[in-house]
Amino acid sequence: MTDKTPFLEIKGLTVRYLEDEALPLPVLKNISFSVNEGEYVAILGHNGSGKSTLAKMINLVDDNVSAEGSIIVDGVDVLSPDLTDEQLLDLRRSVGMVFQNPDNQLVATVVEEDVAFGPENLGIPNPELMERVDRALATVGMTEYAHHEPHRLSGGQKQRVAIAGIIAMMPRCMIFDEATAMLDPVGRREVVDTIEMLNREKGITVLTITHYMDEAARADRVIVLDDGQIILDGKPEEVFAHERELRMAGLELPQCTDLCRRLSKRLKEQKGIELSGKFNNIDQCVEAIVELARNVELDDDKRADTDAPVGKGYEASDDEILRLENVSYTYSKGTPYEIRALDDVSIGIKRGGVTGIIGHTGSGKSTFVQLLNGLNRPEDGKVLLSGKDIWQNPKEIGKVRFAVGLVMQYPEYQLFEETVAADIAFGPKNMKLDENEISLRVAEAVEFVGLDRELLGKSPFDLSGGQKRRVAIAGIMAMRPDVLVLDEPAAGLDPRGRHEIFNGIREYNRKTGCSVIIVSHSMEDMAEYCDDVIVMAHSKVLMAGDRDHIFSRAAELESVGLDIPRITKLMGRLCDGGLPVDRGLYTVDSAEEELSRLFKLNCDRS
Amino acid sequence: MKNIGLGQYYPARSVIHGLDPRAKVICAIIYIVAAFLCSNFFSFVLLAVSALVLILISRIPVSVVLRSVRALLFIMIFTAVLNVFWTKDATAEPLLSFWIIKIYTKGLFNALFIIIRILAMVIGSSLFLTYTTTPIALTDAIESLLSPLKKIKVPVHEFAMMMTIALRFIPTIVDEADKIMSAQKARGSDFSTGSIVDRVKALVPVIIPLFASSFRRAGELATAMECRCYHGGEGRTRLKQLRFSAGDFIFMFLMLALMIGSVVTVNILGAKFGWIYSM
Repeated sequence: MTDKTPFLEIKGLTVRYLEDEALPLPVLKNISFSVNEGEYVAILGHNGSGKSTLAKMINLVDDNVSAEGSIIVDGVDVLSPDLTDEQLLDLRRSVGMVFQNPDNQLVATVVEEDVAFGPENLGIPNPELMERVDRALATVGMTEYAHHEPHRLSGGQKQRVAIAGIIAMMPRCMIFDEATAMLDPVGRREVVDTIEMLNREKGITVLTITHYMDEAARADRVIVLDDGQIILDGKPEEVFAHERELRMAGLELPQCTDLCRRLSKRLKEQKGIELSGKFNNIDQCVEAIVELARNVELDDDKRADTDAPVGKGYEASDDEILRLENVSYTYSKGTPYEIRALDDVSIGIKRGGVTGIIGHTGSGKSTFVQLLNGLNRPEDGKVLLSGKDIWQNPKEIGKVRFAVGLVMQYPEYQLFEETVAADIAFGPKNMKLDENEISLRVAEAVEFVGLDRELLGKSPFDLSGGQKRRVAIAGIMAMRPDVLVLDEPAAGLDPRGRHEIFNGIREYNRKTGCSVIIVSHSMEDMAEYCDDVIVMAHSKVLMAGDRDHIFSRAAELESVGLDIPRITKLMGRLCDGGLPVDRGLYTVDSAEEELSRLFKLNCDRS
Repeated sequence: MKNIGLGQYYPARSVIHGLDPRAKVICAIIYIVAAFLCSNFFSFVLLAVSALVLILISRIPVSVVLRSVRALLFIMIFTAVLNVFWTKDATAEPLLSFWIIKIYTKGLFNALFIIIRILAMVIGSSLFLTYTTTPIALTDAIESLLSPLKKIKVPVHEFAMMMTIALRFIPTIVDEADKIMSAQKARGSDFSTGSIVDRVKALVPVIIPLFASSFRRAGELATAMECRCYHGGEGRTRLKQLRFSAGDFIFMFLMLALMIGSVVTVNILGAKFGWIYSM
């Protein structure tokens, strides 16, 4: 290698947010690393680990900070006090940034004009300007949307427009600040594929900030931040080898990687051999396991034909808290924008259980939950709560909303009171409960969501994102509804936050016996936390039943373009590769057991 | 809610839709001036006929045009009634005399003139501006027409940028308001019953989060704009440059000739030959 100077070099960077305190705690502590031109680097860390601050520092868009150390981009120290305006513009031109919220970075009302915004600022004249816009839109595959209005696009499409807006400035490096956190699985795939293509084909240096481990696994190099410090830095497989450190930093291994590492450990302990290769993605994992199976003796006591669905499909019963009977619902009826959101749906929700509802964006699942508490009124059919039509007396619909508590998507944006306690009490107060009862319920709800009691007197606007989310959920729990409905309760949270929220919800279900309905995009969350699952597709219920039943029908799920849990995908691939294993598994534990059986390993849990 | 239209833009293919937005702003001004210059029966007839012709060539259904008139119905009736009752005509006998109320023929005509004038102004401005021009094109036109004011330090570019962003975010924020209302309804807020005071109070839990999130959006947008090298209007180029075509000039000239020219001529002739009923 020649003595190439790195494109980006950070030395001893310490950053503090300027607040009232004389010397606030630093968010970044003595960070040093460098990135070469053309590298693809993922920066991992939990919410609040300082990773977004780091991104913003490189582009100097955070002015409320004091920083020590140096950030050298392409030979220019951007922290130097005599950085000229021209150098600053040059920095922002060569280092483009894409942010988390797709709505809040598009400026113009037409896609192509938005893409033109950056080059317009640089003073690029036509016809070059038009060429750049066309080329950028073609690169992200959005050419046919050039004349659309951004607000009519999906989240993934908006993010691709935002990326095109940066590409049109012809940057050498791009920073993605949790650019996939607010997207559904389809949108995430679109954006991650685009990012990878920009790096591999266009040679753009990429820094992607994320807490999705499987996104990080696609990078050349992973840097893990915890509490403002770099704790790991290396190739993905090197970083994934430090499982304990990752968990301490609030992160987790990708499930397939986790499975392979566990299997490898067992093999080593019991047979003295190792699973060879890297396990960064599902292909590598399948390859490693199939390779091993060729070389060792297998337990080929093939189980009963595993292609047939197992578990129990949905059957109507009398013990249902909620029931939809032939329900249909249409948005914007009678306009050109008419959308049939639900089409003759009949399904019930078991009393006392945790039921998951899964489906694509636009499959009708959000409409579904808003019908349950009477926010939407069905056009046809009935919604029954404990056997009673909720629209029997439309004036009493308010009571139904207290009985079916709905936590909407990103519920933290609905907080408004002066204190956290008052905000949680808003629902109970509307129920006209007395003061004592209200404070009792607030205390109880705070307990369930695991919120620090000291926060009760604070303003909800001063809390972190994860804390706000908990306050909002507590606000619904405090109404003590018979059914708690949560629409994407963990969207945008890091792995630790996600587990904490879901565990809190499960505990709430166990302790109060209240039925819970969770809407989610994530098959892994469904597999881990729900008893029953309803799958929605094209405004109808595609299938319903218990978890075993649903995930044993993985092929059907995939045929409508839904994800399946990664473990199920892995087991399916092993099965297709000729290994006698059960393809309907969906947790790392059960898959570990099954593979241990296959390789004749002892599978005691210690 | 996602599908609310911005403004009242009515997509169609017509001569007026195809004009340069600046030409349309100028035409609208000419038309309004003409409406004010009308002063006798025939010039008002001319005005009314021209409004009908404009509707025809814009290819916008009459029902749609009348919708924008409906909002002003009250003002039209109110001013018309005032004119009927308050016009005094010393030269003629009252048409109707009852108690202290005297109604003259001239008053009836004045009322009719007022209605035609208001109608023509509403139809003229909405046909040239809101119905046939997207709000964003209108913003560009205003920025371009006002750009000479930059010389005296009027922040024309900044104003236009603000307008553009506002237009871009209206659907997003309407959408968000809708979501927050649903969320508060789920917590027992009631927006549809109770006294006015109750209903206004019920909006507090919607307005506060809406403000909070708008500020957050504004902050994030400002950061994103800075990252895309935004530094004001200086040295900026534009993807879509407004360009006058020959058609635009012809149309503006015709408007000027037809409207102001003919109105003034008819007015003068009217005064000279003592045609009936001038205002």
